[in-house]
Amino acid sequence: MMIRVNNLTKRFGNFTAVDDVSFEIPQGEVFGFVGPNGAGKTTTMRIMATIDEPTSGDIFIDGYSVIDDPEQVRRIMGFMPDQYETYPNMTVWEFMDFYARAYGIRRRERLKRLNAIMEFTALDKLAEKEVNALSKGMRQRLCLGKTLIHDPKVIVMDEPAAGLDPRARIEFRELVDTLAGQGKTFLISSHILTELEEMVDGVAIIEQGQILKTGGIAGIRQELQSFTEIVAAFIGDPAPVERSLLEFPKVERVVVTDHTARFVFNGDAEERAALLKKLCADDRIKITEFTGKVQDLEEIFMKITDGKVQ
Amino acid sequence: MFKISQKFADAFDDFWNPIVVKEMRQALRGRIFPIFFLIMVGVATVAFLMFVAKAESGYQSGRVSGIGKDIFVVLASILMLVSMVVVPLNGARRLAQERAQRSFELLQISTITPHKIVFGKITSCVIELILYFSAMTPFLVLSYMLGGVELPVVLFYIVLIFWGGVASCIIGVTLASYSSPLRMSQAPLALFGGVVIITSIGLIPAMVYSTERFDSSIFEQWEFWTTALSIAVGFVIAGGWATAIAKNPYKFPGANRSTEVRLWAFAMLVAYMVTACGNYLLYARSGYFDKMFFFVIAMSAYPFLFIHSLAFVKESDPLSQRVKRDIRVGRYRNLPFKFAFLPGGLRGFGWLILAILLLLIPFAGSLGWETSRSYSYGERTADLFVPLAIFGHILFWCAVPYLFFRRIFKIEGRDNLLVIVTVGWIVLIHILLGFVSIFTGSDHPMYWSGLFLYGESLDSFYRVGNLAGAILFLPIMVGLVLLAWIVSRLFLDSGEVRDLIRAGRRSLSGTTPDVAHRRSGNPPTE
Repeated sequence: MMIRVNNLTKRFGNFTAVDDVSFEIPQGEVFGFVGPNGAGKTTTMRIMATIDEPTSGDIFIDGYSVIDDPEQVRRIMGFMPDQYETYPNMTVWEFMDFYARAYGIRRRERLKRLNAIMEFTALDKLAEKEVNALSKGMRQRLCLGKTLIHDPKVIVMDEPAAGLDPRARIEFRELVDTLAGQGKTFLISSHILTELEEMVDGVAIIEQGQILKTGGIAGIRQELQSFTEIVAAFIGDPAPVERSLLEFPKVERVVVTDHTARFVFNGDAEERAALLKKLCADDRIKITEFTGKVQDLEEIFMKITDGKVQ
Repeated sequence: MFKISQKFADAFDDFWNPIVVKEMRQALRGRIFPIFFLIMVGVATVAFLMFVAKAESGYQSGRVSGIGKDIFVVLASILMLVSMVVVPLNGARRLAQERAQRSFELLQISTITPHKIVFGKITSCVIELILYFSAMTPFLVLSYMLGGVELPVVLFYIVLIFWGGVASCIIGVTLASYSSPLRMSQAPLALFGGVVIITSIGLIPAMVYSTERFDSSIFEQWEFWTTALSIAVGFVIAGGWATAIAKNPYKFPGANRSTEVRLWAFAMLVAYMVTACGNYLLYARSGYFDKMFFFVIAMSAYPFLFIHSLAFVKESDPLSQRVKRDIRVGRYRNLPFKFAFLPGGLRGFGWLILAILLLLIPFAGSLGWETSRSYSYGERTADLFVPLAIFGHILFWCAVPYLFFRRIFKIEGRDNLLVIVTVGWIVLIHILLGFVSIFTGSDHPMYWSGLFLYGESLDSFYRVGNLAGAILFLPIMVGLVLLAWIVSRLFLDSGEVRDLIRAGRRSLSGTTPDVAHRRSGNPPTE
């Protein structure tokens, strides 16, 4: 496991921001960290990045403890905060050069990496521009460049797409995809769940400091999806379709129009196959499509978090 | 040839601390440095021309009689203002701003060490100082050439002001590391700057103009050099200590790292430096150097005690465990501090402190009394330094025992409160008696403050070598502390206070963080 969060707790006075949180992320995986505002995402990520210390518990990055080996963790970890201020009176090149120096990268290697990162983040044309004059999208690229300058194995991003326009978001996602293809492990928190869904392999859902669900999106979806909304398209008379559906024990809320039948099915995959077989076996019914509507991450999130803790 | 020069270029580039590179780049692109630089040069030029124009009639045999001294005083004062207030304040502002804007967090999570961050900040301030000094050098040389001030005096003050500037920068950076809100971190710095200005406002004119006592012949007295060395050592230790504060949490920019104890100790350190400088001024003005040697030892003892008292108390601080761990794995390179945190050396270290206290407190105790002796010379400046000396005494006698006993007796909860109240009593007694003695116009302002008692013992020790007399002060101080302790205990045992403590204890229960593996130093179990 590249990231292992063990019983992490963080208290601020009487307030418990993170409450006994545990989850694991394998190497090379892009993992989403989802939760409403104040759920404890940023606190967890800040502890992971060795900025804050936990009250109890620990996080291990590639086997190194963030408490006992913060220096080792910093070598292999890149952290991109949700918001940051750039330094005044500094150009893009100087900003990147400063962080490269801060990571102890020697001159020749530094120049190579700077060129590569500037090209990768498309900041090479803005090298002489003052960092304070950059747009939000460019500032995010700058921060990503800073995060990548020491070639980290693990990249933690807190709300990286917040405030970006659609084009910048897509470009940013492409950068993440490219890096993920290079085997880097990502932990990304985001409020834009639909977008996150396209990037992540797994997800941890947190609310009020507690992990509600963790694992692969497909697994969670399967686990949570007790019913499926199914849409069946057909040609011919709708009456036999409606009758057949209503005869099947686990079918509910049937709505049949001219060529479409919508209904909720509470059965498992075997029973779903049996239903399809039954419909097809009837000579009066000519099925052209049979589709189950899959819950997206947003729906899963709403389902898990709604009223469970709050 | 090309390869060698390339290698040299690489090595030269890699040599520089990243923080220094960044700060210099920002300073050169920014406005503050060029503006202050030009203002300083402009003011120096105007002052120089004004003095020369005014003294034109006194032109004698190729030299303008005596005006070099006046010009030097003005230039040195400007330089002092810039190096002890402007540069440190600007350095502190930059650091505080970075922390407030959270850009410091990004730096913190890089692999750069806190050591490099602190020294980078300080070094960039020092480079700025050098630039300011280099701009003033031609004017200072001219002031010497115009006559009235001797070259050793000029050189001495350049070194002194530079040294003071470096120390102020260190203190500025340290103070800026205490608090996240920008204003909060600058407030103590401004306060410190104010104290420095007030205490040093008369320093240069007083010393330069009293040529009967402070001409170059003073450099021939060994007491002068030991005093100067003492102050220099004080500043160096103060700087090291202040840096250690910044480094101490090992999460330097992290919030909530400025504990009450550290602030206490820091206040003591500042008090020490101010008191030492003040006493030095008084001695220089009075020409009263015969007891200086002991005085020097006393002054040097102050920061030494503070450092180790603090280190001792830090045992109760879980963060010290991290420093210990770093020592074990060889990351902590600073030997004096390494000594302070050697694993298993706590008990022995406690005895060491006790021994140091027994040996050096008599000398340290002489500070206030010696100041009072100078007071009897009727110097106006002495009035200013007597309260400062009292302040230094209060901090020394109250804070050090607090730090000391707190650890020895593992003071917690109610007992901790007891110690604090005791210390409060002592402070109150000192302040009241000090003011009473001053306002009653006693020849000896500290006569009734209790300080006189051991001061007198020391006096006999210095004069006739009566060691027993010098040691007498210890039972007196112990008696005072015990008395205050008993009174405090009676106070704390009263019903109302007892209830208050119980309520406080209940509210505190169960909030101890569970960081057992960190405190024990054992590796965590995965």
